[in-house]
Amino acid sequence: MQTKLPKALANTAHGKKAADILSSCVHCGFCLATCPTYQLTGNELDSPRGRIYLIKSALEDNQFSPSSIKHLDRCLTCRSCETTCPSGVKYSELVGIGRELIENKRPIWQKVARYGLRQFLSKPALVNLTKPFTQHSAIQSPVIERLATKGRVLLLTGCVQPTLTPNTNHTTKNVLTTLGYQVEQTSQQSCCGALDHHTSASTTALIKIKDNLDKWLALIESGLEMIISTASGCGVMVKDYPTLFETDDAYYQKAITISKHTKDIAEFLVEQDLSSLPKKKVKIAYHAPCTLQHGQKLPNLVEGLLTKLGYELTPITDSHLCCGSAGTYSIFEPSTSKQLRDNKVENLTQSQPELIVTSNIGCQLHISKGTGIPVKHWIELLDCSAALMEV
Amino acid sequence: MNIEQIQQQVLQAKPLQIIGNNSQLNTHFANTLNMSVYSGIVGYQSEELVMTVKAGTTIAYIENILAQSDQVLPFAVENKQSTTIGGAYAIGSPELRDAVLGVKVIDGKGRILNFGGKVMKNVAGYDVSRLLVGSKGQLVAVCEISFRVLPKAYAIPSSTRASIEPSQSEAKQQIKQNLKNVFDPNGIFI
Amino acid sequence: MQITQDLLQALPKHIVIHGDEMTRPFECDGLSMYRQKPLAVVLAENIDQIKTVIELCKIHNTPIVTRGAGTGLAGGALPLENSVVLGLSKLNKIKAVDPEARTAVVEPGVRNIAISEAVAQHNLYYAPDPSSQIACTIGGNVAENSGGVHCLKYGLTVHNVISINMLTIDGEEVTLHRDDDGIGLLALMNGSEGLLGIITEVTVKLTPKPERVQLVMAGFDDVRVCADTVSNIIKAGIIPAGLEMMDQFAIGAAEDFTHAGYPRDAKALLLCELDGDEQSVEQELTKLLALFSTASTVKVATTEQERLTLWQGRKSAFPSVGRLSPDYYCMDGTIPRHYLADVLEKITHFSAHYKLRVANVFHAGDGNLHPLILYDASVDGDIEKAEALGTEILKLCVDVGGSITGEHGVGIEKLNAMCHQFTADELDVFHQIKDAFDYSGLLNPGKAIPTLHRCAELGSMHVHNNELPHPELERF
Repeated sequence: MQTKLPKALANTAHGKKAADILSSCVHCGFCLATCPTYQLTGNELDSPRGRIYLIKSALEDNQFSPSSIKHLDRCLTCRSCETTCPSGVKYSELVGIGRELIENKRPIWQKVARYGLRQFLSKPALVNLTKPFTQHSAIQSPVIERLATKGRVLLLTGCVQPTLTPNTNHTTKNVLTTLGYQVEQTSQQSCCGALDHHTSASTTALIKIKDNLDKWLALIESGLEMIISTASGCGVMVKDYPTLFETDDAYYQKAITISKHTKDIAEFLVEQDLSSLPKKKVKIAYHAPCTLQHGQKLPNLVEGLLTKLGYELTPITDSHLCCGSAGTYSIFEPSTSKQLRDNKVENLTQSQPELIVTSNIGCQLHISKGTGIPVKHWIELLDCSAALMEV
Repeated sequence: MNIEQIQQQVLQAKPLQIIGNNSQLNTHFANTLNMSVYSGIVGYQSEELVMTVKAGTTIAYIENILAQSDQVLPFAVENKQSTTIGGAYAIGSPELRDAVLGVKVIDGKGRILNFGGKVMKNVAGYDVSRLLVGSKGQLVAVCEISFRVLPKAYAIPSSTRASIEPSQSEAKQQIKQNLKNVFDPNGIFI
Repeated sequence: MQITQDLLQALPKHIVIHGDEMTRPFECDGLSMYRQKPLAVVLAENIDQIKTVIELCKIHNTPIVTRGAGTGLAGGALPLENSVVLGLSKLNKIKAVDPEARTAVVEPGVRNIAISEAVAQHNLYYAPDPSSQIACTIGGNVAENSGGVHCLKYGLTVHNVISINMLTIDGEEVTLHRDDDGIGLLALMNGSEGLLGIITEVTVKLTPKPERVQLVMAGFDDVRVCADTVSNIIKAGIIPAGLEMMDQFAIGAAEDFTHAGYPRDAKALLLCELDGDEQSVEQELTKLLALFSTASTVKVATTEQERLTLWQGRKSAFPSVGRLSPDYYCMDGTIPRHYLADVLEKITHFSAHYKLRVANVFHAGDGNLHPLILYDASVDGDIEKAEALGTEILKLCVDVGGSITGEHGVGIEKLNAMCHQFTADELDVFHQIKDAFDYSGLLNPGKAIPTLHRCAELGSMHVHNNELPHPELERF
């Protein structure tokens, strides 16, 4: 698509990136079909192509009012459109640029609300206080301890996961230990930066991210084999670190190294001999998080792994669509979020599964609010210590 | 007879009834335009699955030519020996309309006009060649017709059925009347 | 503007989009080369709201441009100056499916593929499948008489629509049925590009899924051999469900996106799909493989996944080519099949002459070419060169007995080319047909049919039969 950015902008790194992305879009409209919000509203302005156009207009003419902000905020950043786009448009990067642009123009009350939420969620001390009301599930098995026979791995524990769904990290550790790995963990303080990034606080995000990069790089230099994420939302953020730096920034190369050394737990396990892990006969519905299938571009990965392990997976209509959680989206856009969740729950429960599993804490908590069927992280199925106890 | 001679007849005409081999319509009028003398294959290449013929060509003749290349018409027509392709076009059927690709016609003002073409896909201009199927000789004099043909193996089971009018409305009648005025403003073709 | 105020007053606020900033994303459709902001966009939620739009637009003498998903490639849904865009994307309900009669009744904003998905449980599907089928709407398909890769065997939209309900410019509801006695008004509405009426409901024909679908891919070292194979397949009495050809450039682009396993070093590639009952497919497959003896690679899809991946490469080919060039211009000419090789050779010459790359991805079985002219709009003179090259290609199509558009429609894009294909008298009839439906001239005026004045200025009025451009080409 032809784009004419004003000279002052066109010469900045931001401008060049935006112009590149805009010119790769041919305006074919394929993305409309798989965009969850367009499916709900039927309005071009709530579609990826419409939002690209709004951002383009904003960059070209600096025309950007609260009306545009509304439509941009409605975007879940699920990146389903990226999976559909045959032209390879880097939509999420463009939206990132667009979001920075709108931040200044946001009404003051929105800024305050966003600041407050960000501060709260990224402060473990505060989050932990809410534990009695918010904890979704507790640890359900003893810790396995075993001498490591393979390498060292770093588990990204996440900022809210240890409080709300501690069993996910716990099981992951047990599984990795069983397989012979020595598991180290990030502290609850070291957030991946996604929260700030997605609420348009990129400066705050970058401070955290640079800190992570330095710490983790030191670990890799001392022989760490892999960084493992159990929340696909965090995983995609870390994998996308390189997009946050200019190529001449010293942190760009560091980001590439870390990105290459980061895997989702499923990506890591699929290469392992899993014959020692337990298999249970339960009928499950798997919800593929957008951050895994569209963000990390790993469709069908977990489905394949679970099928291989002997689980019966029910077929899911519209499995490419977002559940409506989308980070802080469920807080800022409650009605769209709920509508998407209701649709998702209906599709997930169509074949009466005994259990719903997923790969991201956000989806897990969001979906469980809409159904009586238990919702877990799929890794919890592989709890080796529980299996040992059963025997 | 050539097309210019037909054109002359139209230009000089008082009200005129178009007839083929007289197999379908009753003629009540002295002035008739006999299209059966305008016959023959204009173009046919079996690998194109397209045939272009003059309106007076009989269905039997066409089928005979097609059979030599193991091909058939994708629509059914009764009284094949006497019915001309122009007559079948004027009476019309959904299957015949589906098969039509293009026509050369003379309108009520005596203008020679081409619509559609000789290719399978063509969306340039309104689809006049399919519109005029079933026009009963009352809008234009159809001179040449291009239509799709099929390999024998793909022959569609033949059926002729009476046309119905599932819904009528004043607005629809008005549109039909307006279209009559487009093609034959002076009411030549009756 | 008063019309916007009146629309806001008469309709729910959330369906009326107005103001520069919000209407801008509607300024173009799938052809982004042409842009024009409308006064307002109305996303109608029911037929009464459409009637209100018609009524108000008539009062204010404001043109109405109907829009589905805005995926059209000819600018059919390009807004006109001071027009109202009537978006039907919210009318997306499948109202009824009758598996016995094999029909589905749908609203105009239903996506093409959504019909097939909804009836899959009955082992049925909706046959026409334009490349944009995941996004494009059935209303838009009827307006453009859309084709697709499977219309060689199963026909265009016009062959698969049983009836439509439409609103006239007077807001009257009219039903047009395939079985109507007399002239073919339904056929006329197919491909009428929003100039004659507003489609509010479509009843489509559903096709039983074939017992077996077999896709075969063949790569060739020589374009001419590949093109001749196309004719030979038809000559052998086979009508494939789809028969698609791609040149080397397009093969590379599609392969980059889909990794479908296309042979990158082949000069041309055919995708040939056979379908039907087990026995007939097996027989045709044997014949086909014999015809492919001149190919350098042959791949018979063995799984459904493999078949879909091979098709995905083809269906994404246009936008994939978009990765290789800042802009591209997609042509849509049709030619009699036996001219394929000659015409492709000519296009290569044109491409060298204008120094613009051309990728070819097309429905070979229908003789429907889609040359993609690659250019860079930011380079001075490139747009003009691309248009000149495109015009040469379309003229060539007409000259060998074909058409300037096989399935994309004329829209705004091919108005000049229409002057080459039709005489002044024929264009006059087209204009009168519009008047017969829309005396006010408010339904998408100026699209699809060029004014006689425009053609006269262009000086490229229809070439008469006695003149024969390109005498070197063999004819009937």
